[in-house]
Amino acid sequence: MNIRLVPFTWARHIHAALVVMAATLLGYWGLLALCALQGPFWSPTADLNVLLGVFGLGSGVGAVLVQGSLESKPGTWWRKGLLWAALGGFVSAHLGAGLGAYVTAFAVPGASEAYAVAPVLSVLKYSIASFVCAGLFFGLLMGWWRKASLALYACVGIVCGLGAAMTWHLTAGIVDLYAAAAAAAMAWGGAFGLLAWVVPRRLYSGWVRVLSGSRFGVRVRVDDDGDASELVAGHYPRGMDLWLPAEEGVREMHLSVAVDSEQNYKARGLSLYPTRVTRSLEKLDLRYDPARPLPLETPLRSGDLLELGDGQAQTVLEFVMLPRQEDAS
Amino acid sequence: MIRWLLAAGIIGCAGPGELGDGDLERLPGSLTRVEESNPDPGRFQLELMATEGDCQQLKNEGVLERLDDCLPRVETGNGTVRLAYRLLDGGVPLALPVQRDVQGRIDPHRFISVSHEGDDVRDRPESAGTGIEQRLQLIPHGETTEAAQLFVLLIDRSNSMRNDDGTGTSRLQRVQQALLTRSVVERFFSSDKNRVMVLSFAQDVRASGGDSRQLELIDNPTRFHEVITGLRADGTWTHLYDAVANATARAIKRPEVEGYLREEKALPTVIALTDGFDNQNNAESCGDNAAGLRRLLKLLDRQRSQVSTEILAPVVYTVGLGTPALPDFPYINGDSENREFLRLQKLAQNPTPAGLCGENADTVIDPPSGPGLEDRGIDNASLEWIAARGGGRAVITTDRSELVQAFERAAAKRYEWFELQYHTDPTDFRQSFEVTLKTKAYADTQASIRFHPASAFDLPEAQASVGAVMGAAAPFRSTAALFLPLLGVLISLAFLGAATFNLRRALSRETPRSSKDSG
Repeated sequence: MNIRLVPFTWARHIHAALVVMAATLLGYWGLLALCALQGPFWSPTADLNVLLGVFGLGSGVGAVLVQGSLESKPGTWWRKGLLWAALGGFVSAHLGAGLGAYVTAFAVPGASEAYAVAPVLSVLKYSIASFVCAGLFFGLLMGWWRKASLALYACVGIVCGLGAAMTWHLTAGIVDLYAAAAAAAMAWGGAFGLLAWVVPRRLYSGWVRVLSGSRFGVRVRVDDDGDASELVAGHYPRGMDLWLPAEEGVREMHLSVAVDSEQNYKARGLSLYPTRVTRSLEKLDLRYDPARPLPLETPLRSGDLLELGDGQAQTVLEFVMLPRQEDAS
Repeated sequence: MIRWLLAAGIIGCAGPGELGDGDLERLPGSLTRVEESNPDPGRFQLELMATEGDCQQLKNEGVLERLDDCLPRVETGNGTVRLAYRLLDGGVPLALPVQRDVQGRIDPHRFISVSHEGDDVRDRPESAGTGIEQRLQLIPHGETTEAAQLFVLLIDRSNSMRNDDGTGTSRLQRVQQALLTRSVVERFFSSDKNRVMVLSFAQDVRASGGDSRQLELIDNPTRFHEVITGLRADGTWTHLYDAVANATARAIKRPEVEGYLREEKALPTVIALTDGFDNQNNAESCGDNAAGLRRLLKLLDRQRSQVSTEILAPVVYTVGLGTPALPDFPYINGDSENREFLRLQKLAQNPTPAGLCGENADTVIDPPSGPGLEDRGIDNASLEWIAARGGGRAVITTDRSELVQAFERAAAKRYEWFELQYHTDPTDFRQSFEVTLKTKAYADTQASIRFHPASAFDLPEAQASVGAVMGAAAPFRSTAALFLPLLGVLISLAFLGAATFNLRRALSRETPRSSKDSG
């Protein structure tokens, strides 16, 4: 997996979910292969515990895979990740499911009588506690591994368990348990991937790229090392971050693009000459107004166009978020 | 630390239900586990093929080719079960006959009853009151000609059998011709161990051979031919019920017969043939027969339920030579899908005058003058009732070839083991369930087996086949049909973001403007 394949768009919010979903599904497929070739070596009453453990394993592996590859983690991180997130994911979800079964026996009315008649029962009412507890335990483990907020990950885990439970129950009623478990695997992995970890902004940086004139294609990174900085574009003959010719409508120190420590980008108009920011359904005039104490500025989003000058003598720049690994070629 | 880990393992690896100490075996191709079966103790045992070991025994005996044909199968999504069984007599496998109807189908309800978690499974369509479609199919395997069978032919010799019905051949002659047809004789004497006993009845029961001290067990076609051609229609009244009771209870219990049955483990098959009603005087009405029929049916029930008998309970077939005098029997109002189910239900009850005769309960059977009920035809109701409770079939016909078929079917082939398939509501498979099989013919015994289907996930279901109860098992590679497309979609979606991003930028890209253009 490569950060270059995850653009800074809506896609980055679901990319992790897709990977974790696929990994969880593969985990379930592996479980079926094991059962088909070797047969289950556990009691039939523990089928749900094993399934949820495999969900934890698959989701853990998926989480390690997506984070490790996108952030280019070193080998030691991978080894620890596979041990804690993958193996730990299985154990935590498996144990949580088992605990949920005990909770069911005591807390759900009629459960112990129903299980006395039929030791194996495939009913949501008697299984939901297992799903929720498995999700909770898994979430807590992943939160600890990622050194993130345990409360947040606990909630994420519970959502994973509930989503898997609902999907499993609905699909089992319409199709069968084979498809139901596959649907539950995708629900579990998708919920975890969507809610727990989004591809972070820090893996991207802002670039300004020239779209017109003699300097077409030149691009300059706004922040090199992730700290707050400011890039100035203009016709000033010495020391300009982005030098652009005057014949193409650019004035001395025409525009600046700044970034703060939280990676929020903004454009500032420094010139009396036409300076516009154009995005879909919106055009902003950032021309410097001497009556104002400070230059006008606006937050920048990836894809915004910056127009310097007017008419035929105009230079158009583009602000775009690209992976930090991109070279300034 | 280790204690905590162990405790955690115990918690995680157990479920809420408890299975007990019995070993579980996994059914091939599924995640359903099966416990060993629990047959009834007693001389006769119904052996359910629950494990590979059970089926391997059949294979070793040469009556099974592939283990997969015998092993139990449970399709939880389709709601179908397949189970193989056989009957043991003192631990020795007992070959049983199975009769097919005119369409060549086997009615499993005649031979075995199945209950799924206490609920009877019957062959009925979805609309038969319960809203749940159920199907039941019995497939015999391991045909053998070695097993012995005793045919007790109980032939009506009342004077009505002299009638020729305009055909030029008397009824008795037609019966004789049918019995002496080569295919019937070959079926009767298909095994050296088979025997035939010929009894004729009217106001009394007479045996062939003429020796009242010993019943004759005919063991060759030549003697059979002599006996059948020697029959004469020289009787008066027709004591049908007494004759059947005599054949099933007294004749079979005679020492020479019982000795043969015990020694050869033979199955006694009684074929009662008549052309009218049971009647003992001129004043008897149809409804008067209900009491006598009730006594006979109770006797048949008692015989079939006696577990301690040393010999198999006789199977009773009835053949009526003529047309039905009570064509509306069993007097059921209902749609055609329910009729068979209601008919079987009625035949399981005891007869009353109205239940037996309908609106003809007060009609005299054979009045001294004028037409009686017997002039209309045969007491088809009694014959059906006797056959149903006797485990056999009733055939009412005037056609000689159908007579031949009736006799052939009574001398049915015998099989070593049977495969039972049934379909019921799939929601009944979402928990552990017990299947109980109870024999309804030949011996009264039952056995149960408990299945534990997968509770959370399962292997892919078999493909349902049109007209068949069980589908073809799905191989593991069929899982690729679900997983690969899903993974493909997920991978495609993962690339979709980058693809749309680049496409949008490519479409909206400005062409470079030269400095000359800027003027």
